[in-house]
Amino acid sequence: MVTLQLPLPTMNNRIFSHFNPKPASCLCRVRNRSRAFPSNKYGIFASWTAADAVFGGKEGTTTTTTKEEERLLPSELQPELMPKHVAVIMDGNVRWARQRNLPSSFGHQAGVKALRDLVDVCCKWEIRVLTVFAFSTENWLRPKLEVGMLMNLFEMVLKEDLENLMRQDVRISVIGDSKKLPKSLQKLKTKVEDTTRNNSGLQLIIAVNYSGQYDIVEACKSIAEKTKDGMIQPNDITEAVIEQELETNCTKFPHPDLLIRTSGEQRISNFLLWQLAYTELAFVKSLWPDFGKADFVDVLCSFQQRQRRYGGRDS
Amino acid sequence: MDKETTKLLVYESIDNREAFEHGSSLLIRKPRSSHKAQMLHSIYHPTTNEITSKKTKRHIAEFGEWKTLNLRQQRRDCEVGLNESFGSEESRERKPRKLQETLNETMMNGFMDLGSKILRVLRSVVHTSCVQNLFKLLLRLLWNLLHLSISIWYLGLGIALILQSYLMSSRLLKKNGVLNLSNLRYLAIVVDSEEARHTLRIVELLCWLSAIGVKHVCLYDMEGVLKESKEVILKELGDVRPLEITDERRLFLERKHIVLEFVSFSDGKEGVAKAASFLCSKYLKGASRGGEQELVFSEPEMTNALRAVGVGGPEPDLLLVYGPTKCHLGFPAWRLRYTEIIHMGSLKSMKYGAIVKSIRKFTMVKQNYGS
Repeated sequence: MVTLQLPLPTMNNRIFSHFNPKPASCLCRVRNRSRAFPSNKYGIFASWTAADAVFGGKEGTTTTTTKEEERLLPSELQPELMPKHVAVIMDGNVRWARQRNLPSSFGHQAGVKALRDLVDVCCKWEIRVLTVFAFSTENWLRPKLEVGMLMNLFEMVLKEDLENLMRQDVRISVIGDSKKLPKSLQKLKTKVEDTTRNNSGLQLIIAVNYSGQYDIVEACKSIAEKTKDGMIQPNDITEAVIEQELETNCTKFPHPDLLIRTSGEQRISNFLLWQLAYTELAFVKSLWPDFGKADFVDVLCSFQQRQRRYGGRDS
Repeated sequence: MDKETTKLLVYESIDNREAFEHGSSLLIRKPRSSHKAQMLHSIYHPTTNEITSKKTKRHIAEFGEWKTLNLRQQRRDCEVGLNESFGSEESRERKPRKLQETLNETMMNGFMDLGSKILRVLRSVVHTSCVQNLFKLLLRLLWNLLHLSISIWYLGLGIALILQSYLMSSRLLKKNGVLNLSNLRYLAIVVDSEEARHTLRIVELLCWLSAIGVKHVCLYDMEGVLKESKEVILKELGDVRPLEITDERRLFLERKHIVLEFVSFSDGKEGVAKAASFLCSKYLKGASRGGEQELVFSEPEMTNALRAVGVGGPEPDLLLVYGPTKCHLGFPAWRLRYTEIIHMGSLKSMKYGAIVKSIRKFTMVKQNYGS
């Protein structure tokens, strides 16, 4: 079936950037989407079941299998413009549960499902790094019951999904202050990181008890130890030195190309402060459990449009 | 059997085009079915182009009916013929089953042949190129109509927003009322360095902010173009003064003038590196006296260190980004923890109404700060 994938901006000031200088630019953008039409024209004929007998089954049908179709990028996306590192602030689980008169634990479980789907999609589309903001230092202020439930949920998900993630060749890294986490979760975290260390597919970085300012301060602490040992002088401390000591030094691509925050909030909330200098910020209105493949494709389309027009930036 | 039946039998038994044409040409000679034969001939003849679906369907239905009638006629004629040729009763009794089987087989073959011929007719009709082209054109038209309707929708939306912005700008739209700026203590503007060279636009933007009631503004661009234009901007605005380091503690008491801060990339990551160097030096001095690392390296100490090296400043409540890309272009990261970020588009297309809308939207935001 033909699908219409258009970036549909919300009714805010961003619309000015879409419409300037003239509405014709919008038409050009919309016409670009119709590139999907020629590649799908045989798919249209294939969907007419009554035509199968008449056409004799050869002309007008695609023959890719379901698995191959899932692995293929949507026609709106270009492989060379895909971001290498995507960061996600998974906001809105509790609001999602409240809208359905459910306890907050249901919202977090629905959020886990959305995360699993996103990891699957990132593996298939060969995104190199996915960083997710699972738990902030400020989240300790939440009710103890909810915090306890979240810690148990992290443990359960890491245990249950380890086998599946190994099969998908996913490498897991956990960043954040692990000293405050339960002992069982700390042990599991070490085990999971060791088990998946040699995987070469998607690197999934889970930020638990993480704060951007904490990351910078910890980097300064480790540099201070090096200055104490005489490995470096205080006057030789540069941005590159700090960069090497941040928690994102566990990956080859420490700077996200794209940050997605769900639930419509338009702030970074102390996540990857240093690393987000040139990151495209995408604030999506849907709540995290409702964030699906279609929303992800929309965000990637906008990202690629801007990349095409203005090019990428290097830090 | 009469001559007519013989011809029909010839037609039925041989299943190829030549025979059919031969048969149809034979049929043409028959005055009774000449009309039908001509129709059939027109369907199967390769040079015929004028075929319509309705006419063809009727032809096919009539053809089917005609064939059925002729098959029944064949059966009756066979039976009559056989009775005449096999005169004796004994012979008739000896081979009735075989004859019956032969008849049934003929009937079956006839029906199967009928079915395959109908399918062939359908295929030839559908494979006709003009129908395919028409179908493709129709789909393309539908697709373009869909695109057009969505473009018209966005055009209408844009016109409505422009109108709203114009009305806000001319103060005609009073329903916005007075903005509650109690939450907006510090506003930051990030401008793309290319667009920051348009100093007059920057001055106009600051005039608008002053008219709205914003008192503390931080201007940032990556390359420091705004820092270079600082004198020009301050001169153009008049009732404004730059932020000084000592002001920070008493900053929000200032009500008379707009306080402007000019920031560039060197105040961001480079500033943090300088602050790290400051803290390391402090730590080394303290270590020699037995001091603890935790006391030196903490978030409040880092804030103090940034102020000490001259890159401190308050955390903005709202950050407006003017430029083509939706990123903050290296604005001092330490100060962006809970800042609301709104992308305003290009500075060329800045609108007073858009700023009012953004500030109004900010005043309605409720932050939980993680709890």
